[in-house]
Amino acid sequence: MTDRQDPKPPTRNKGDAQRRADQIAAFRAELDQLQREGVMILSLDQQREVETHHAAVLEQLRGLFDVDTTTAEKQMSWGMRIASFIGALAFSAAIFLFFFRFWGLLGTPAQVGILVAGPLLALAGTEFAARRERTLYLAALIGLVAIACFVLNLSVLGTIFNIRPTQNAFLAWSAFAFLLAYAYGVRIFLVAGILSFMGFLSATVGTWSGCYWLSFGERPENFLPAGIVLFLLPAFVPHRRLHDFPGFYRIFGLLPVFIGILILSNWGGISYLLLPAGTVEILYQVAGFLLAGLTIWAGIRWQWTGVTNLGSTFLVLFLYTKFFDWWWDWMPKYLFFLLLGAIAVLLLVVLRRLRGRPVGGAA
Amino acid sequence: MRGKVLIAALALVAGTDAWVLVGVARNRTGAPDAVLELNERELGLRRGREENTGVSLYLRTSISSYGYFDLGGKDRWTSQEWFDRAKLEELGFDCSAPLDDPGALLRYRKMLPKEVFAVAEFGGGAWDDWRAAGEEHLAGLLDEFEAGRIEEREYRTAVRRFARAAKARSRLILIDAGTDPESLRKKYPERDRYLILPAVARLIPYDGWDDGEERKVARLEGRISDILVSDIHVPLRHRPVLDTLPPSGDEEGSPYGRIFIDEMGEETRIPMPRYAVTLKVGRRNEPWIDAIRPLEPGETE
Repeated sequence: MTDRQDPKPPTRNKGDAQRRADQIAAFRAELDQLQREGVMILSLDQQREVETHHAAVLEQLRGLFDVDTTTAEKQMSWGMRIASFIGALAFSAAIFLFFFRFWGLLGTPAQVGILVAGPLLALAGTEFAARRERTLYLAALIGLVAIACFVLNLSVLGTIFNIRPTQNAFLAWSAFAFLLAYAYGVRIFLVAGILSFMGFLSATVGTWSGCYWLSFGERPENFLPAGIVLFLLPAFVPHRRLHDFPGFYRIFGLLPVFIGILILSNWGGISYLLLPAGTVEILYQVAGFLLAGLTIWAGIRWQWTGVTNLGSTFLVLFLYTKFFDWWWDWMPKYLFFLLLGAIAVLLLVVLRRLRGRPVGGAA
Repeated sequence: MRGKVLIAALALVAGTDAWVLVGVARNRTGAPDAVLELNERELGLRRGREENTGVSLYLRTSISSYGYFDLGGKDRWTSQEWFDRAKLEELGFDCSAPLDDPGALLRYRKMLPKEVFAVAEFGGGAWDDWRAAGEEHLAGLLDEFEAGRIEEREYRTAVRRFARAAKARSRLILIDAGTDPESLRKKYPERDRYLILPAVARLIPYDGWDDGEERKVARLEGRISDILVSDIHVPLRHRPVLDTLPPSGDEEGSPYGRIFIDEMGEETRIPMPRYAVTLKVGRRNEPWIDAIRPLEPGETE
């Protein structure tokens, strides 16, 4: 019998803790199966030791991070996340509407005071909730409200004092959301920060061509450099503690790139390129297919599951968009959908063959 | 670690707000860039609906919401005739491609707007020019009517519309644009007559037929498409006058309505302004309302 070691020190974040809990559950299920098939039988002492060790680890993880240890708990957690998000949206809408309902009845000092106090109080509320509740669902709700309060803050200050709008507000909002994300490890804050930073970068890229910043949306190419920067960011900023954050940078960095290319592959007239619209569309269609293929390859190569899925999704979107362009107008509709179905089956065969090649463990 | 990050977040909010408020103070301290007394013709009232108790005044210049300057019913860009190719190049638009180059039109159509500073003249020579052009236009329409080339209805409509516009239209007319507000102020030094405001300018490649032309003409024109800060917030202390306004001159029975009767006896109701606003523009060319006072019916006639 080996000397039993104390359970390892707890992991540093909930994501890692949940992965460990899932690993233990999977191990237990597989061990049961192996014992039933007679492949491997542990002695009673060994079983007891493993069970005691796992129970201690799970107890520790539950105590520190409130992880889900059963399927029912996982489903409940998803429900709590959705409730937290919807609650945050509802509270944020309530705050916006409440303010606009009564602000006209307040003098300027009172308006400014409320606007400044809003995000500060919500920030304090976030910290209070985080200290009281380990799951951080309530903290996530209040934190999103804090972000909404900061958005309201700068927007309405601009209205009250008739300030010329600039894209710098996006930078301030993104910085605030990023700070909350890294303080609490909450992914929804990170998404808010990424989206706001994307707005700032895209608008700034637009101004490099000399245009008014609010016109950046008229040219989808403005989103491409911003998306690439965000996609590459985890390569330069290692995340030793929050291991799931890099995946979000990659997904939300690629998303505007794919969406921009998809738009340009159908509406070439809104491109920066000084070429006929049809030519632009062909160029971006080719680029879209190449990028989708490259993304799938990169996702498989570096085991970025989300990236692979995103690439596959847009590959299918680009394909189906092309099929629509080629066939919809002249092909009988039943035949059109029959062909789409056949191509989907073909894709399944191809992906299955790719899947059959040996790969490493999941990222 | 979390404590430090939270302190940084608090500092970010406080610091950003301080930065904004310092900017406001910088805009409003010292001598203002412009001080004008405008009225309801130039600053229309915009109230929020039930869910929004805020009130603002929106600045009307010679750009109407459809981009034409109402001149007896004829669509014209005459208020921005000064915005030619030379002006576009001065504002940084690349106009080097010759218009007979096949790719030039595509290039010009794809150009995005730029942020500039626009100069609006209040009630000066540009307004007088507009009135003179309107009267000339009406005289031309009268000749055409008498020659039987247009119907009486078209002529009468133009007369009524011009009569209303002359009394009710905004007297702020855009006359110039530039990239440096200080240079523009040197060019237009009268601070009680010229507003210099941040705006958005667009290049419009025109490819069509001018009046009387037998073949297509191609040229580059510019347009101020937006004044960036045109919705001006009304602070609470200035609300009492606006909250107790009598009915608009367009409404039946309002003392602020004037009836214009044309030669055929047809009536047109012309609204008179109900309030006057002292508008100041600061060093950052951002405006604010300094005072609002009620106007007596007919005070501005």
